[in-house]
Amino acid sequence: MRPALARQMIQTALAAASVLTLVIVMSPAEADSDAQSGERTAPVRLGPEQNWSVRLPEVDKVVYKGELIQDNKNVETNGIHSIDVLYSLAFVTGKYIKEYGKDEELQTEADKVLLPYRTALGNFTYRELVQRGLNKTAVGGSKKWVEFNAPSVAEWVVEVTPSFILTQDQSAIVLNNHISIYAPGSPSEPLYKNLIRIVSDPRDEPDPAGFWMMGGSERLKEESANLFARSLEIAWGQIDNASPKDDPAHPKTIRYRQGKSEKMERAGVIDMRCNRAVVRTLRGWLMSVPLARGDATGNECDNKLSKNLY
Amino acid sequence: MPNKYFFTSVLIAAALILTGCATPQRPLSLSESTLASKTHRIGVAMTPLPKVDMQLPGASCLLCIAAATLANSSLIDHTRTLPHEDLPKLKNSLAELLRKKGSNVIVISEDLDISKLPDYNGKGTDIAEKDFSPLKQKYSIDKVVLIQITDLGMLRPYSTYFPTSEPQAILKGVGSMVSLNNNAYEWYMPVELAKGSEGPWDESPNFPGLSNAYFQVLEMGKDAFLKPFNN
Repeated sequence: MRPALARQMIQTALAAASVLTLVIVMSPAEADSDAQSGERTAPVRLGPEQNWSVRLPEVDKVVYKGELIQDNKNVETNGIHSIDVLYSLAFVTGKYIKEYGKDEELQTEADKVLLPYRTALGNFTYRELVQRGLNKTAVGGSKKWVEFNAPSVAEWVVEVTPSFILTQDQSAIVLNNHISIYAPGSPSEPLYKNLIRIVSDPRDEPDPAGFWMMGGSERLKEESANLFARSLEIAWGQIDNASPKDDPAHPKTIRYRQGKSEKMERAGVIDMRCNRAVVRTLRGWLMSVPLARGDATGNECDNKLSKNLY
Repeated sequence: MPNKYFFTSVLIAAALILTGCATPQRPLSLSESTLASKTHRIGVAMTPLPKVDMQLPGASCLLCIAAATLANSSLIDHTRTLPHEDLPKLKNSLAELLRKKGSNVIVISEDLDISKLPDYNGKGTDIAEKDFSPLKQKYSIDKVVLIQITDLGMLRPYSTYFPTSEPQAILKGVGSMVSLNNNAYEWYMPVELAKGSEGPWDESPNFPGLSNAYFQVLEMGKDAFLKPFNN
């Protein structure tokens, strides 16, 4: 058989197989559980007589990462115009091999911003974070933390997985907290589950590392605990309110500040005050963010906590 | 016969050079002097907005197109539901910025289909290919600022049957200012933006990550066109 003909046959066979494979493998998958977050069965108000616990995360040390800046450089918007299937296959394979592990490399590079904080963060445990956070939370009655492996208790339990991001300009901290709230007697089925992201107000400090590390990293810990407390209050607030379907949250594109950068998010505004907004993203996640200049309300703030974190 | 092949090759090369390798318009930044004259009347217009759609560049053969279209059918359907949002009002925002600079501005309310304009006879550096002079009399203007958005939606690059990257939201276009006295560009700024999903993209049927990226690209595009007039 002539090589050219053999090559042509291989290409045809590959093409047919590719179509079948592509249809099976690349059909968009169903939305994962994150897209269904924020669901619950009925509104619940947690009275001052009701106690609740926070179940600690499985790991001991609080997770901090450096902000990964995606600057859209090297964005690929042109296809590879080839009619050679084997060339295409080789190109795509080579590209995936080349890019394998690149995300981890980028994160390692981004984490270098945490170098001045390494010693302080090495001693910061979730026990301390959660205790500090609970001291700042006014929801319900008495509150305590329980170990990750502690048996179920006959009261409200909040499972949390908080992790923090320090912006590259070191002017703000971002909390991502996966929260699940379990009603008394229902340890297996959460009444509410969502990812809550809080972006702190940016600090304009000439020496940001010196600022955060002042008093034995007290400011860094306090700001982190403020964000954590706020995420708990927002979660409880969601349980307390009406169903998310009743939110007057027609999505719009809001602009907010993450550190000294401006970011955008398509989201429904749940509440807006003190130049901050609580919004529901298209994925159903909740975010509390400092608004950018154009979107800021300029409303007076009620108290110190809301001034800092609403 | 070698001479015949040589002659044919030269002809093909010449045709390619003359027809396929036209010099693209170079970017021209907006200078302060361009807007200095307050007596000039400036018209601000937009070309018709493109349909929000998905592009699959690189899926070139018929079977490749069919496979890529089928593999991305859910995202294609979703992309076509995405709105232009307030993009049509971009010319009003731009006109407002020009007014703040003291320019005498009118907003041309109808979409300007430049393909219907005649070709310009004169050639030279920074001369527009289309003849914009009919707009001078029609709208009583001396210059036209034109926002031309050409591509909007999603893009996923392919190589035959294989995607070479994840889908991204895109906005492509050109902002320009043409003097209607000499048909010369006084500002020419290509805009090409692309943004991927933060987190996973494959979230059918609503694709929240890519939808978010689409609306981000819309805002980034508006910012890009307005920025030269904001300074």
